Amino acid sequence: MSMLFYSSKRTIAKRKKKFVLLSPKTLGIGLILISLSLLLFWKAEEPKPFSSPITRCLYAPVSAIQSIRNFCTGIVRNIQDSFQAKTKLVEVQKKLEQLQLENQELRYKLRKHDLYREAFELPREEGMPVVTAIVLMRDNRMTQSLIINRGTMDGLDMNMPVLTNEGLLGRTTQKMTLHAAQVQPITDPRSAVGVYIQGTPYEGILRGSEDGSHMLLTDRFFSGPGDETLFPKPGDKVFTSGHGRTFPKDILAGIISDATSEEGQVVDPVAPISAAKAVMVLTQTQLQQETASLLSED
Amino acid sequence: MKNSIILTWIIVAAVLLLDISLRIFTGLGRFTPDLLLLALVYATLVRPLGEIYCLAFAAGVCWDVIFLDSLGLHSFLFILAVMFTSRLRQILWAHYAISRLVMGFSICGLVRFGEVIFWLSNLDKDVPVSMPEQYITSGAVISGLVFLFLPLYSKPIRIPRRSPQTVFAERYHHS
Repeated sequence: MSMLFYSSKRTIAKRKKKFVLLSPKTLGIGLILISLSLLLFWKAEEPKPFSSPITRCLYAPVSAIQSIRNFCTGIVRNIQDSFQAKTKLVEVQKKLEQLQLENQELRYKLRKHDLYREAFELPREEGMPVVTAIVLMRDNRMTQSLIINRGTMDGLDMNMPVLTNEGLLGRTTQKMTLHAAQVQPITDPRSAVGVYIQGTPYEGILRGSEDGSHMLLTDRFFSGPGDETLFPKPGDKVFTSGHGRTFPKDILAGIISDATSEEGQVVDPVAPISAAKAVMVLTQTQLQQETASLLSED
Repeated sequence: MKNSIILTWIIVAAVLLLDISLRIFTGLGRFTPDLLLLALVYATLVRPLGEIYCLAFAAGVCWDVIFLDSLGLHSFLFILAVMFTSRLRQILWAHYAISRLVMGFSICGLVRFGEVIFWLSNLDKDVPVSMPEQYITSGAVISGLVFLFLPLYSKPIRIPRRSPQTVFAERYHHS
């Protein structure tokens, strides 16, 4: 009898166990399904920009950490500079004299330019519309990229050129929210920029390297007119040719450091990703204008 | 119990910031250990599973928002990692350093493999094959080594075979 009673108790316990809805397993599976549905929702259509107080709260400490890092590196650089200051001072003074002379010449040319413009009644050239942004953080997990504090709300779109004071840095990617955007540097192995080499009649494609520290000038071709024997050499400057229409013409992209490599000329970036703190995004390139005109026609 | 749940969440949030700081300050790139993932693995060993699932989901969403990844990718991978850990903890005794090395290596490898598969399937242009390979192997090795040297202060949970299922209960005590 007692055995029967015991067994009936056990069966009730078993039945009760079946009706447990919120177990760790069901919770885990439920959360996995939510994650997958989120993933599918975001991948199903064009990624929709999102912004919320949570996003801003998350970026606040991250940007604080980034600025602390910039501050620390700034201090270290200042200390290093102060040690080298005396030796550099003489060089800088010489450069300053040269630059003053150049400045005078350029001012003279500019005045002449303005006089001609007024004489022929030509319209004044307007500067490219630029959005300035601060680097929030560097994403260096598999490939290197930057995350900046401007997004679609500030007029940014994908494939917009990103510059620093030194020269070309990269372009914006499709990963963009209302107030943040990802920048793919030109040193990324997926990047390809049409360029020409200053002082030579050659053009080519500037590709990022595997380690992301330099670039390679490949597919070089003779664009003429010019002397074919003027091959690129170390120290030559590389400028964008404007062929891909993503990047405007005549932006400094890099300087050739090694011209003997079999893969192509090794080019060092003028704007290294590790040193970038503030950037400029060109919001109206030829590509953007063409896209806008096509959309308006539709 | 409430205090320990809050403490776990605070610790994981602090580790998230530590992970990001390490990436920003050192610039180690693919060699940076996945500290957030290791914190979740550690928590899985010493805390009830249901709580860690919620924690993994929240941590994954935060990670995706910060790194502008597709929303849901890391929450999915982190929950999978927690599930994997909950299986591993029945096989491997986490008190031994070698077990922790195997756990860290395999779980980080799994998560990085998932990331790479997702990224590669959404790239507009190909990347050299060596890049994802190096990303997975270097991360798995470094994270495994970090987990090896991480002292385990709490005793790992030993779950009885026929124990009742609890979601947010305090950790089981050894009988």
